Formats: sequence, C-alpha cells, structure tokens
Amino acid sequence: MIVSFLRRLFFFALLLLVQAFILNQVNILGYATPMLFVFFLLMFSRGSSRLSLLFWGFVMGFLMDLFTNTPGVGAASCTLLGMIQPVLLNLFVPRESPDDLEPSIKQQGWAKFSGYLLLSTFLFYISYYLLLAFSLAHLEDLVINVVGGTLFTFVLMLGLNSLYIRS
Amino acid sequence: MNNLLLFLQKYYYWFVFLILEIVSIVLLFQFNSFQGSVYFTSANVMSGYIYEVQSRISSYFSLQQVNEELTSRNVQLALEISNLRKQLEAGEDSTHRAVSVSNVLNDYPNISATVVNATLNRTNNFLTINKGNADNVKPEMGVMGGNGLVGVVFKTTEHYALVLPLINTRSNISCKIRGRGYYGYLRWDGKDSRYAMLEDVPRHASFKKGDLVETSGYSEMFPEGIFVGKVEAIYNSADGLSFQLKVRLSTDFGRLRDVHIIQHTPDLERRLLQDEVVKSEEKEERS
Repeated sequence: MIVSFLRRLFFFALLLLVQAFILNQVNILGYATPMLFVFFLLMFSRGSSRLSLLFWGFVMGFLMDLFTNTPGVGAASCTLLGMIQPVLLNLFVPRESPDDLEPSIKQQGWAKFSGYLLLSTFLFYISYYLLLAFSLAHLEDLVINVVGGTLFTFVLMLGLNSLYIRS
Repeated sequence: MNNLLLFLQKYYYWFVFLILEIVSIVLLFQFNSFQGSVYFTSANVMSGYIYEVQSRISSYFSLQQVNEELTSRNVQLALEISNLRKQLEAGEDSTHRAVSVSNVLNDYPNISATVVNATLNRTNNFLTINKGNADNVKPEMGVMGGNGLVGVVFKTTEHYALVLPLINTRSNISCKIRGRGYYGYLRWDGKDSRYAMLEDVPRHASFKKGDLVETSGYSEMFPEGIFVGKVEAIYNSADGLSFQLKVRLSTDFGRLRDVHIIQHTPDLERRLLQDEVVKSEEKEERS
C-alpha cells in the first residue's frame, strides 16, 4: 500500500518537474505545447478509487497552474479528466479482461491503448484551451493548439511508456 | 432516508467532482481581476524561488549574447550622445524635447529587477520578476527593458511580482508615432511575440513604414517618449475607420532578463482634475 503510494508520488513529482522546466518551454511554431503530466492520470488502473483519481487530478492541475500562471484552468480540466478516466478506459479494454487492468500495450494491444491515450488527451486539451480562451473567437488557433498539442503529447507518451516498460 | 444514504454512498464522487470544479473556476475568475489573489501564480514564494534558481543557472549560458547586446547598445547610445551634442551646439529647438524627456525620467526613479520566468506562446503571457512589495514595487507601475517598453506590473507579493507584458492580449497602452504626433492604442493579437498592433490611428494621419513608435505619456505609468518599436506594415481596421499598424517590438521577450520598474510619482494636480471630471460626469448622468 505505502510502497505503491510512494511510487505514485515519485512518478507524480517527476512528471511535474519535467513538465514545468522542460516541456512548458517547448512549442512548435508557437503552437502545440506538450502536456505530458496528464499521462499520470491515464495510468491509473481499472477500478481505482474515483475519489483518489479526482484528488490526484485536482492537485496535479493546481500545481501545474502555479508554474504557468493559469490558476484554475489546469485544475478544472485535470479534475474533469480524473472524472472521465474510468469511462474512457472502459471504452478501450478488450473483452474478458481483469477488473484491475493496468492500461498498457501488453494488456490492451496497440490499437486500443493508442486510442485510449489519444481520445483522453484530446478531451483534456479541448477543456483546457476552452477554459483558457473562454471564447470561440479564435477558433482556428484553438483547433491548431488542440490538435498539435494532442499529437505531440501522444508521441511523448508512447516514448515514456516504452522507457517505463524496459526499466 | 436509507435510500438517500445509499444514493450518497454510490454517487458521492459526483459531489466531490462538482466541489473541485467550483474551486477551480473560482480560482480562475479571481485571477482575472486586478484585486484578485496572487498567491496561486508563479509569483508566490515557492515557484518564484524555484524559477529564480533556475534562471540564475541558465543565465550563464547567455552571457556572451548579453555582452554583445550591451556593447551594441553602448555604441548606439554613444552615437546618440554625439548627435545630441551637435544639435546642442547648433542651438536647434529640437533638443528641447530630448532634454525634457530625460528630465521626466529623473522624476521617475527606477528599481532594477531580473526576469526569473517568462512565457511567450500563450494568449495571456506573464513575466515574473524578483522584486516585490519589499522593494516598493506596486501594481500598475511601468516596466522597461534595455531596448524599450516591456509592460506593466500586474500583481505583487513580498519578494516577487507578476508583470503584464505587451505580449498579453489584455495589455492596452497608449502610444504615438514619433515626430508625427498621432496617437493609437497598442494591443497584441495573441500570435507572434515579436509584433504588436497599434490600433485606432486616425485615417488622416500621415506616416510611413519604418516610423518609430513611443509611449504617449497619457497615462501615469510611463513618461512620454519611451521607445516601443518600429512600424512594419500598415492595414485598414476592420470597420475601415482607422489604420492598424503592425509594430515590430524593440524588446525581445524571448531573451529579456534585466528590467527597470519605473516608480511613478503621482501627479496630484492631474489626478484631482481627472477625478473632478469623472464626478461631474456622474452627476450629469444622474440628473
């Protein structure tokens, strides 16, 4: 119990620091900033406590906001992701899989795992940028930011995932 | 009663979800006002300190560039001085303005600060600087860099402050075209951090590409004549009633490090006059 909590905390801190100091400075042509920290929420296994998902999400988003001067934006969208993560995961699990399935390529297969990551990241980006802009005035920019960011984050997630498995 | 308890037991997380979302939204709206709390931003003690350490380390990597910039700035200033001296000797009247600007700047003692964090690629960019209340930095003070205007202090904590730079869609600064006297508002369109738009320039104004843009001195934040940028392109405004100028900003926000905060001495007479006008207008509206 405690070991798994500490492991989770370590993963949390690592993603937070990588995001704050490296990824927040990265962007392609002024758009597409990756937000790898959502990977933390997506890795919660099936049947995790919904309460813990919500709180981890809120704290993650809140801390991210401190670094980007967007109070509330990250917290709101991370909490939302924490709320819908179990639903999303259930969409992409193979039939007759265990109740405590951990999201991974091995358990879900390439297609389903990728679909799960892509859809979740996409929904997160939409909520994040809608809250940030709070209007549909610059719809083109919004779409470019969301699609670019989603794809960029997705690629990074796959990279991180392969590292995670090897170690 | 039993049913209600069962219901709560099953769906309690919905309530938690709603509460957390409400907290987030409250944070979001609080930040959007000048009066709101600043402690949940990068100007708070924790992230301010972390950013300061990071910037102290990374500053060494750009020392050479900073040196080059300083040298070129020195040369530029030396040239300007020799130019001014020539004009003084010739006894031309145009020196009057240059002298008056430097006099005005003397009335505005500055506080120097270092940028510890900056964003460029968001629609609402902010800078964090390492001076705050303890150093007499207050909201709505003007901020200048070595190359020109930077922005306005937005919020302050004890040792850090958050600056609203020109490249924030909420920034709105009154500027004029140097030597031509036409005024406009400098706004940012949220796209390229190198350019801003000077809007509401009247149709009958005469100017050309390459003209210089400076602060107008209409607000108390900045004295008149602080360099802002160069006119790069000229467009018609959406309603066709004014010009919209694309201005190449003189400040490179991507490499900004040392800034000065201009301490304004409140111009009492002007304040009183403005207050009087506002009051009399309110009275008229009421009657």
